[in-house]
Parts: sequence; C-alpha cells; structure tokens
Amino acid sequence: MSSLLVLIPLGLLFVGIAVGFLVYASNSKQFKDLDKAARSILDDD
Amino acid sequence: MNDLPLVDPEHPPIDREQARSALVRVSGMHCINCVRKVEKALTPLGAQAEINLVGGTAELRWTGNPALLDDYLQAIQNLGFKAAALDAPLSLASTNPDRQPDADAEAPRVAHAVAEATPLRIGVAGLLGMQVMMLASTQYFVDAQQIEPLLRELIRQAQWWLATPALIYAGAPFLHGAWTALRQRSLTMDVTVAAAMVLAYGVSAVATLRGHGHVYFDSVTMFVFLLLIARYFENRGRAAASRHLQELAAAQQQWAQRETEAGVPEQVASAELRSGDVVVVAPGLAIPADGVLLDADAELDESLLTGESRPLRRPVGEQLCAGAINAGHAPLRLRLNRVGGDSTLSQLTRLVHRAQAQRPHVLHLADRIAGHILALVIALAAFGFWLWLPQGFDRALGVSLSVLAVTCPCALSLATPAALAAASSALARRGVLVANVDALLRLPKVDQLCLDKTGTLTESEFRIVRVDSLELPAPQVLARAAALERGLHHPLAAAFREHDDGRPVEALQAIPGRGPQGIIDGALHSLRGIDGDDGLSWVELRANGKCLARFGLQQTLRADASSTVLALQREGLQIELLSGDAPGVVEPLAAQLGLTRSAARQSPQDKLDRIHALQASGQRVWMVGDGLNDAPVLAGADVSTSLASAAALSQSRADVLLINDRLSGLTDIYRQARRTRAVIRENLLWAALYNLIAIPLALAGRVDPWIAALGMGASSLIVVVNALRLTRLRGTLAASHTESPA
Repeated sequence: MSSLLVLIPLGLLFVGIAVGFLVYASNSKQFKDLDKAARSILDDD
Repeated sequence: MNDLPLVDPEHPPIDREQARSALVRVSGMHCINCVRKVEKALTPLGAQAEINLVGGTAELRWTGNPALLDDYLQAIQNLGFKAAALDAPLSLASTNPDRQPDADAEAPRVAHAVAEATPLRIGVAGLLGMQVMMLASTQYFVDAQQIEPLLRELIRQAQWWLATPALIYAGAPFLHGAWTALRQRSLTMDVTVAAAMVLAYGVSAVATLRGHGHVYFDSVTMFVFLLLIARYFENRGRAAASRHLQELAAAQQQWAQRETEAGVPEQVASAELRSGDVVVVAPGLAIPADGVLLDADAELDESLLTGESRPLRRPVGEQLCAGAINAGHAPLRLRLNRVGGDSTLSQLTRLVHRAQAQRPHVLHLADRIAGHILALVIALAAFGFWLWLPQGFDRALGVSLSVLAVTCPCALSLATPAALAAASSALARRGVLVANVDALLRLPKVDQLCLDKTGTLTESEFRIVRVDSLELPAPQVLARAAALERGLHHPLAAAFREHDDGRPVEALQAIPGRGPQGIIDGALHSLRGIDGDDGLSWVELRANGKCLARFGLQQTLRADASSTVLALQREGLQIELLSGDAPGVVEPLAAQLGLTRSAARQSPQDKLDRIHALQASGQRVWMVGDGLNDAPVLAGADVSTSLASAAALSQSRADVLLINDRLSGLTDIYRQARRTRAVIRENLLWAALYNLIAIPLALAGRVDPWIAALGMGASSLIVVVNALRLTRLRGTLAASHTESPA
C-alpha cells in the first residue's frame, strides 16, 4: 500500500506531462489538417 | 429593382433605400433559448435577426448605417457567442447599378468559421477523467476502512487536483454558457448541466476538506468528457446537415482579376468589384460576380448552383452566375452586372439560410415544450433531493445530480430542425431549393397535383413543325410572318425569328388579344391564332383579309415529363393538367402523359378558382408552374413549386424552386418530404420516450450521475444521426434519377 504514496504522485506527474504535450500539439496546429501529411507524399518535390 | 424577398411579409415595412442585411455566422448556440437570447439582445439595437440554429447562421436586418453591423456583432459576442460576418452588408436598394459611394465603401468582411477548441477540451477531460476514475475505483471496490488514512486522504486530494482543471478548462463552455444565460435571466440546457457539475464538485470539495463524506469527482470529469463528446458530434452533425450553405458561402471568390481601363489585369478583392467591371477568370476558378460572357464560348461547372454535375457550354453574351467554375482550358472574360450581395450566389446563400432559419409551426410547439421541461427538471431535481434526504445527504444529492444530468430537451428542440436541414441540404445539392421548409412538412399530406403546361411540362420555346402555304412558297410566307413578329417578346415570335430576312414593314403594331399586323409590299398583313385539334398551336397569316398560310407550332415535351408524371402517380397523387392553351393542344398532351384530368383555356384566375374548388372539397393541392406568369396561382396552393433558372431566383415566390430545369426534381421533393416526415416522427418519439423513461428512473435512484450524462449526450446524438440519414442520396433520390431519362 505504501508504494501507492509514491505511485499516485508519479501518476499525477505523468498525466500533467501528457496534458502538456496535448496542449503543445494543439497549439502548434497539429490537429488543424489531418489530411495534409498524407497528401504531401503525392506532391512533387 | 430586385425583388429579392429580403423582407419577410410578417415583418413591418422598412425604408428600402436604408434597409440593410448581413449574413452572420454565430457559434455556440445549442438550443432555442440561445436563439431567443440573440433575438432579444438585437431587438433594442434596432436589428431583426432570423436565426438558423442548425447551420449556426443569422441574417440580420436593420436600417441606416451599415457600420451598425459591428455593434450587432459585439452584442452577440457579449452574450458569450462568437460572431463573424459572412458577407458585406447588403442594401436592399443596391441592385441599382448606380450605387451610392458610401454604400460602395462598405468594408469587405472575410468569412471565418469560428471553431470551438472542443477536441483539445475532450483530450484534457479524457486524460484527467481516466486518472480520476482509476483513483475513484478504490472507493467502489475496496472497503474505505481498509485503506490507510494517509493514502485515503491522498486519493481524495489527487482526484480533486485532477477534477479541478477538467471542470474549469474542459467544462468551460458549459460554465460560460450557464453564466451568460443566468445574466440574461434565461434558462438554457447549459444551466442544468453546469448546476449538476458545480453542485457535485462543490459537495466533493467540502467532503475532501472535511475528510469524510462521498466524493463525486469521477462523475464530474466523466460528465464533462461525455457531454463534450456528444456536443462535438452534434456540432459535426449540424455542420453536415447545413453543408450546402457552407459550400455556397465558401464559393464566394475572395479575389478577382479585374481589367484596368488599359486592359491590364489587376488583382482586387471581390468586394471592390463594381457593376460594369471586366474580369478575367482563370480555368478552375469560380466566377466572382454575375456578368455577361465576352469574347468566346465557355465551359462552366455550375454544380453548386444547379446540381448539374456535367460542365455546360455557355455561348458569348450569356448571363453567367457567380459561383460557377470555369471548367474550360482557357481564361474567360465577363462584364459584371450584379456584384457582391446582389449576385445570384449571394441570393442563393440567403435563400438557403432563410429556409433553414424558418421555424415551422411544429417546431414552435417543440420549443415551448422544451422550455417548460427545463423548468420542470430543476423542480424535479429539488423534489428528488427532498424525497431521498431521509436516506442520507449523499444519496439525495446523487439522485438530484442524475435528474439534472439525464434530461434532454435539446433532443426535442433538435429533432425537427436537424431533419429539415438535412433534407433541404440534400435537395439543394440536386438543384432543388426549398425556400419554405414548412412545405416539406405539408407536402406528404398533399393529394392533388396541378401541373401547368407551358414552361413546366414542356420547354418554353416553340418550334414550327408545319407550314401550309396556300399561294406562295414556304420561305416567303415564313419571312412575312417573321417580319410581323419582329421586336415581340412572345415564345411564338421567337419561333419565327430565324426566318426574318429583314424586309421592311410599315405601320407595324401588336393588337392586344389578336396579334401583330403591318403593311408588307403594300398589303395589310396580320397573324392570328386559330384553333386546331391535332395537338399543335396554329397561327394564320392573312394579307388584306385573305388567308396566305397556316403555321403549326409545337412545344417540346420535357424529356423527363412522362417518367415524372408516372412516378408521382405511383406515389398515389392525383394529377391534373391546367393550361391556358386550346383544348386541341392540351387534350392530346394529357393523353400522351396518361392524365385523365385536364382543363384548357384556363386564365390565371380560372386556375386559382380550380385550386380553391379542390381545396373546398377537402383536398390539399400542390401546384407546379413556371413561377413568373402564374404567381397568384402558386400562392393559392397548399404547396407551390416553380421551375426557375438560377438567374431568376429573386422573382420567384414558390415554396420550392427547381433551379436545374429538371422536372424529375418533383419526385425527389415528394419522396424526400415523406422521408423527412418519418424521420421527424421517429426523432420526436425518441425524445419523448427517452425523457419519459429516464426521468422517473433517475428519480427512483436507478441511474448514477455519470450514466445520466452518457444518456443525455447519446440522446442528442441519436436524434442528429437519425436526421443525417436524410443527407444520403442513395435510395430515394438516386432511385428517381435512374427513372429519369434526363
């Protein structure tokens, strides 16, 4: 049980990091156009 | 003056010189109470708003300064919604090419679809909610007394830390919506949702601080997460239902290549274009405003305007509509004559918006019921708390939260408009424009279809199919008849035009009710209509009272007329042909189409009397005409449809417009209306059943708050998804197209 005293704060830390990444991805407009990356392979260099 | 029906007859008359209107996108409206809030906020500022809840658009009308639009947008934003103008404010008097400079100076506004950051909120709520649920499982599966006090305290605190950003950030749309609603002293769905969230969060926070009592952080986060998902899909569904409106708005070309006086192209904003400008449209680009084609024939893709998927060839001198795409391989040039808000594309956008903004009678009833349900829900939540209080505070609170969460009057409010928007959107993509959505609800009740002949069952143009010349060669008599018809704008006159050799006519005059006459080669010539019994329209050419020749003219039956009549008869409609032509023309045509009922020599008044007689015998009448000559007849019918070219949109007052010139659109309309009625009934039944079952279950303590949130979201979603079935073209619409040879 005492290990949970460490694991729960660790879990909170990880979820905080995950949310941070999500916000970063959203702010850098990675969800704006989900088709663009797939289409880009068809474009001429 | 353009007759664009920008002013609803139910609204008070306004000064047309000062009257303005603008189409505005409003994001964040979720129910009828949101619509009322916007209407109430704008009325004191002197603007009338016609709001399309499904499409998230509003048409604002006001008089005076066009800059007032900024005040109206600000007023809408003050309510907590996002607002952006979709086009420049339109002056009702602006169809005059000599527009005033101040009207021309109206600032262009770029259309911006204001998107809510829902995906990020869903992601945050989901990540935090998963953690909270994992921690909360300890209180469901493990005896609390078996957990160390320090660990128990940590688990509660951790849930609190996680639930707080979930509520404040992810739940912000609901909190914000509720706050603005309460400030406006109105009740919206956000109020009950936010009340459930805040109540659960507050009680849980107090329990955490005290160190005892039940906590509901898991319910709060799941509530936010599930409602956000439901709202996200609901918004996507609504967007899909009004996609045609968005496509029309998106087709407004923002930039154009205008030729300077020296003939050099320059790039300008479309809002700067003026009547008389010459623009160049490159292949693949849309025409920015209406105008006349110059230089050479062009191939155009008009699918957005008329639903016709094949590119059409347009000759030089033809009027082209904004929104059509240059499908050829060379740039085309055109001289503009209707720009900005006066263009066909703008009119079409407004007609579609207006159709979706209309609130049929049945919808008013649903809205009233939904408004009462909200008040009832709050009373029931309080009643549930009182009822369950003897079982403990926690239990009573859980029941109250469930009652608040489970109720879904939004489904009731969305049931009808979502179906109507989806149905009219699907029809619009086929070139059938529903200008009055009430017609879709009335159409399934119709038992009698009255069809006009000229311009409806037949093409408008006549062609000469017989020439019985008594003395002179046929070219001679045709040339004399053509000379008499010179300058007249009647379909019969057009048939003779190609035979005009320019010979002089003296004292040419058209005698009303009789025909043209004039002196040719010293003899008084005249043309008179005569009766025939062989399905042709006959005209007699006389010289000094002596018959020279008789011409038999015929109108071409539309290619899809027979199949359409047959399909509608199979649907159970009785069909009658009403025509102003002679019996000798009408009766053979009726026989050819398999119609047993027809009436010839019908003036517009006779047709109207016939419709009134049918209505007096208890029948509901659907009248189909060309929309211009028989406007009073169309107005007298229960449902009216007219065949109108896209350029003549503004002149038509029919409930439904066939802008692709395809008669089989009538079958599309009728079948789509019947499907729409079925879907609306299913939706209303679902919404009523859901609430009737869910509320008593919640009151009986059988529904946990998070399940209640799931049920509420699912209920709205089911209604929207069911309505979206109407946007699919396979089945009804596709079937009618395979029947049509056109």
